[in-house]
Amino acid sequence: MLESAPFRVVAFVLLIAGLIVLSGGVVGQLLKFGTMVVVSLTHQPVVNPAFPEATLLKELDGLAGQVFEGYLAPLPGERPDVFATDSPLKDASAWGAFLATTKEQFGRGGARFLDKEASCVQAPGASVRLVYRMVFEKNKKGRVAFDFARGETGWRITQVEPGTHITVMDRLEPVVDAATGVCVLALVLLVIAKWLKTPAHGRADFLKAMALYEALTVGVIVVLFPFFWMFCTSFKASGTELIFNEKNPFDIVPNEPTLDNFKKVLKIDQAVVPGARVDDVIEQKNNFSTYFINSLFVATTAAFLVTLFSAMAAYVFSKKELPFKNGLFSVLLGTMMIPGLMYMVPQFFMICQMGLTGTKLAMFLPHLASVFGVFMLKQYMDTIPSSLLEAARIDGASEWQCFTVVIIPLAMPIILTLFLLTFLFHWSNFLWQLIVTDFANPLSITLPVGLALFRGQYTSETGQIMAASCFSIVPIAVLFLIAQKYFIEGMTQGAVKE
Amino acid sequence: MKKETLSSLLFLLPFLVLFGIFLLFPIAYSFFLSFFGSPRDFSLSNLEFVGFSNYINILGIHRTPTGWKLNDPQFWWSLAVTVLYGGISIPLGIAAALGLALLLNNKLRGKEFFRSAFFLPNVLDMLVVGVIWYLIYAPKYGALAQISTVFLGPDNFFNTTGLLGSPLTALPAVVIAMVLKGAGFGMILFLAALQNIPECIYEAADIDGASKWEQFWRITLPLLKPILVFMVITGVIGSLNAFTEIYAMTAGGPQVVIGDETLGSTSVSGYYLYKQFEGGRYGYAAAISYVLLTVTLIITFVQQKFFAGAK
Amino acid sequence: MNRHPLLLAFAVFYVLLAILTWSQDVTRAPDGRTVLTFWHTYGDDETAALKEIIADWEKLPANARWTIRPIRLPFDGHKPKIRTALTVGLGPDMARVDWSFVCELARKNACVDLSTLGFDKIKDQYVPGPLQTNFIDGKYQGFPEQTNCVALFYNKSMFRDAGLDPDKPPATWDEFIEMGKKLTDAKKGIYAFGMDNTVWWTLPFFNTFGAHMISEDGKKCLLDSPQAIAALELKASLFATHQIEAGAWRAGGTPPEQGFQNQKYAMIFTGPWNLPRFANSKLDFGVGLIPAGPAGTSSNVGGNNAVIFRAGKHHQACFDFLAYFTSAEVQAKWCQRLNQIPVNLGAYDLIKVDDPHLKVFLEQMKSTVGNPVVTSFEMLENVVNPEMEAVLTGQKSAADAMRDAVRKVETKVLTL
Repeated sequence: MLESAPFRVVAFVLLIAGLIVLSGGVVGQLLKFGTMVVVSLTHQPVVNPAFPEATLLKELDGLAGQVFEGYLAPLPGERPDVFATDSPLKDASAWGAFLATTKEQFGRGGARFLDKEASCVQAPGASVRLVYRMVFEKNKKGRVAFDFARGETGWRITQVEPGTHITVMDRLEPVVDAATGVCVLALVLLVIAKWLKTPAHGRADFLKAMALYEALTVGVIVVLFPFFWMFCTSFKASGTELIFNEKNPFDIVPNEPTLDNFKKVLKIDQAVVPGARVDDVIEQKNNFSTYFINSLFVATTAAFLVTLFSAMAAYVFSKKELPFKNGLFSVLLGTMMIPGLMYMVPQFFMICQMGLTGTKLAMFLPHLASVFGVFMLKQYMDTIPSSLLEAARIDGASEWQCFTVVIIPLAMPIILTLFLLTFLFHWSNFLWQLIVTDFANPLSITLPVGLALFRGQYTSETGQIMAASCFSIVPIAVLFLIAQKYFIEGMTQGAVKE
Repeated sequence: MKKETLSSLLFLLPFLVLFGIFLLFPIAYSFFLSFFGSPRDFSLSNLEFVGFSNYINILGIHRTPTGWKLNDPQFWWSLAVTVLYGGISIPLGIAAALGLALLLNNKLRGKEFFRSAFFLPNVLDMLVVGVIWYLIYAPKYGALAQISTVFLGPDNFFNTTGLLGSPLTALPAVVIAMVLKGAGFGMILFLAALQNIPECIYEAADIDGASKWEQFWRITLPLLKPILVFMVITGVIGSLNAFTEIYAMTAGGPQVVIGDETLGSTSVSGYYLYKQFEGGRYGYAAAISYVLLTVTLIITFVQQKFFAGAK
Repeated sequence: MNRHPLLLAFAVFYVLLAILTWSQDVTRAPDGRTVLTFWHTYGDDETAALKEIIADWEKLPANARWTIRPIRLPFDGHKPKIRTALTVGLGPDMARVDWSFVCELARKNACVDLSTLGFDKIKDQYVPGPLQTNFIDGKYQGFPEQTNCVALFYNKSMFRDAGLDPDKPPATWDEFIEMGKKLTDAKKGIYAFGMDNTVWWTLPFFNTFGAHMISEDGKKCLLDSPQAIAALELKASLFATHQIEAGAWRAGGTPPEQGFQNQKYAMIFTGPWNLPRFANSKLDFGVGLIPAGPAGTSSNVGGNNAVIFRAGKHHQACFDFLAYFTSAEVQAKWCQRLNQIPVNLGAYDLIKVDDPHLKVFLEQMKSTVGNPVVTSFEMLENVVNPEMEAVLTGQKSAADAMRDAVRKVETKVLTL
């Protein structure tokens, strides 16, 4: 089908539309996220802002008096159509001024009346005869509501719910939108230019590649969305983490970013308690950075040893001779079926018998024998042709040389994967590390346990948990970036491709 | 002793020593525990010997006025749910991983970026992933509900019940989330193995006139067999031990009533076992894990016989 | 050869790390006093207050022999930590534990029967609900130490929008249903109520109907009593018959707290811990008592108790400290500082509460009757929750479900 030119054009237009939607969404959110990070660093978030300000309220109050002056309330039950042309509004220009003020104060969306019928409520208290409620929606992101009440002294205005103010992010929104537009436009033009340059016979391939990229991008968006959500949520104020944006569920970048979650997790604002009897130095060191370094040590040591021991064992199971080798391997596989939950208490018992409670060694020692690691490496080593090993042996290599010079470099991507996964396991191994931690010595606390200390008993402070998660993926991200080259390609790419 | 055996043992030594100390004893202990009732105090020794009654309570049947009944229908149900969970997630997971690996094994520009991006979700905490998918699936307010409302109107299934709210779709919904999280890991394994396939084999096949499709089935797949075996076996183990994803997304629900039994439609055996353990029935939980082990071994055995016969 | 710089960097980094984490053992110099360890799960502010109280206690002449070492554990996982520590004999002298943990500790002979130390003389000063969670098999096994309960939170703006008086939350279940119908606008996804399904969150329903879950002697499950069935039928009717409940309890549903914050649920039950969070999210909300049923208003009991372990050697000193800690004056100081609900009835008269919301909680707390006391509350939840869900979804009648629940509780929970 891609052979016919008109069809190709239609496909191209559709793909361009897809490109606009995808790049618009991705670039828009990323730019907004970047803006938000900058804003969170440069602007203090306003906690429970007094909005609208008292002076503004007074101004509106005066205007309300003018707007409704002389206007008499309808009888209860009568439909109060205040703003119909034949309404007894005395001063239309006052109304215009009122609208202009509200529009200016409440943003681009301007003022809008909601539920005029429902707005007629009998006010409690004898002095007020009737109340009209006006609800203004501001940029579809917040609202402010007033009651216009006719009392003894005429029409007055009262705010009936806390207003949402225009944040820095609101003001920057047009800029972000414009930048997004420019980026998308540039991208689209680039693609069109490429399309035009492509000769007709290459256009089918061009379309295929474009479709592939768009499909992959959709996949990447889906799998990376949790990261984005995690980053965004860690900037949200306590109590607002799970408030959803009804207009656009994908717009999850907070409008009032705060660094509170990060500060709390890092204990930045925590002063040393006056009068505390515990050594002040210990108390001060009892913080995130101590936990972080402890965990880094535990996880690195464990990951290194697990990878080494697993690789050695896997080498035997895959490439060497041993009586009852397969039988032994089946037994190992069988033990993987028993959930780790079952091991915990006896393993702790043994650690205590060895007198290791509270030591760093206890944090990972029982988990050094990783059947999973052996299995994974063995299966991969099975795909390495044995001919390479035989060649090395003929050249006079010792067993250890065969292992280090042939097997390890070839298995590097998988070894690194195992290293990363083991690192992760020990980086977040909460339950076991909780059990062996000696809490009397706070300086021995590791990261997962330390993070649990921050968590309250009742509320799940989602923002803080996400901020902590952001920190805990930092070393993994660094590891990943350093190792990426080897991780993906292997160290001796092409060794078997001659 | 042969020199080869000796060097093999030396290579195995560190692993075997650690395995023997820290895994064999706990495994033996948990087997021992499966013959005992709930502990009477916190020591490891003061236990009430109950013989096979844990196993009988799991596997046996008893007589009621209305007929014979299973002693623990919830166990059998959780076993069935686990089989279903594994049955969907393993093939789907392998297909996704292999598909990505093949797609990203060619000369695509920017493939490094895509490989990294697809692998990255593996480093995320399962609870975080669970929470996010929970929010995506949520009826009325979740992303999926809002998208579907645009196309199907407000009365559609995603908006009223939500994928996690219906017994029929809750399990597949969990599977989708987990497959998307785990696909990148399998992809790395397949990619690494694909690089060990010498290109000359494909060149020879090209000369013989084999189509790409034939090359895939005849050359690529057989050479990837060790990785496929790994994926299947770890998939089975993952299904048997599945807990966090269920805990974070459905807590075993939604409940369905079959006969007069109330059963959790996503209560997989790992979740059921955890709940027994959490509730202090340690002996019972241990017995469940050995029953599961036996069931898996029988299935493996039958499957091997069957395949041996088929060939 | 190109991997050598990387390996070198890695090695240097690792050595640095090892040095940084090496031998950070902290041995504190004892000042001649006997150390009593107290494992607790307090937050930062509470820990600071606790340290001051300990310092005050130690200054009393009678306590010159003792020093209390507070050791902080994460609340998540304090149960397995204490269980495993007791297994190997590394437990503390006393600990603050979740209220539901006391029964397991008591039945497994881990903690001290307080009446042997003189608890009978002081027990009447405590709020009955939390006190009752320590009453196990006829003995008091722990101190009520910190408490809370749930009450009715309602959204004032949504009340106004529905033409209801924002200062009058429903007082009875009938009023609740009547107001609920006005508040619900299913087309807009707005519901009057969002509720949880678990046992602890259903206790307010049971208690306002005067239903008990477990008999006094702990041998029988009473969930099939007419009161319990009526309570559950009412709960189910909110969703099914009256359709004023959003289905927040369903798997995948929007949880009550989230629905309330998003102004989708006008009313929810929740505890005082959410007061600062909701204030932060700029909601205009009020707090009222749980609607009254045939047995008046009532609620559940949350919070923590403090126990003294048998394995420790100095039971009386621990007892004296905990008695001091929960005495009226100290409780008043503690609650005034941290905005909490006192466990000591005497403290209610001593504190001045400004927050009108917290006042409601103080009142609600006095109406609590205690929780079901079982060895494993987790197992109770595990067994009863599915049956209650079957009732809410209409797959079982309340009577059938509760009959099955009683059978399961008696075989799986009460035998532990």
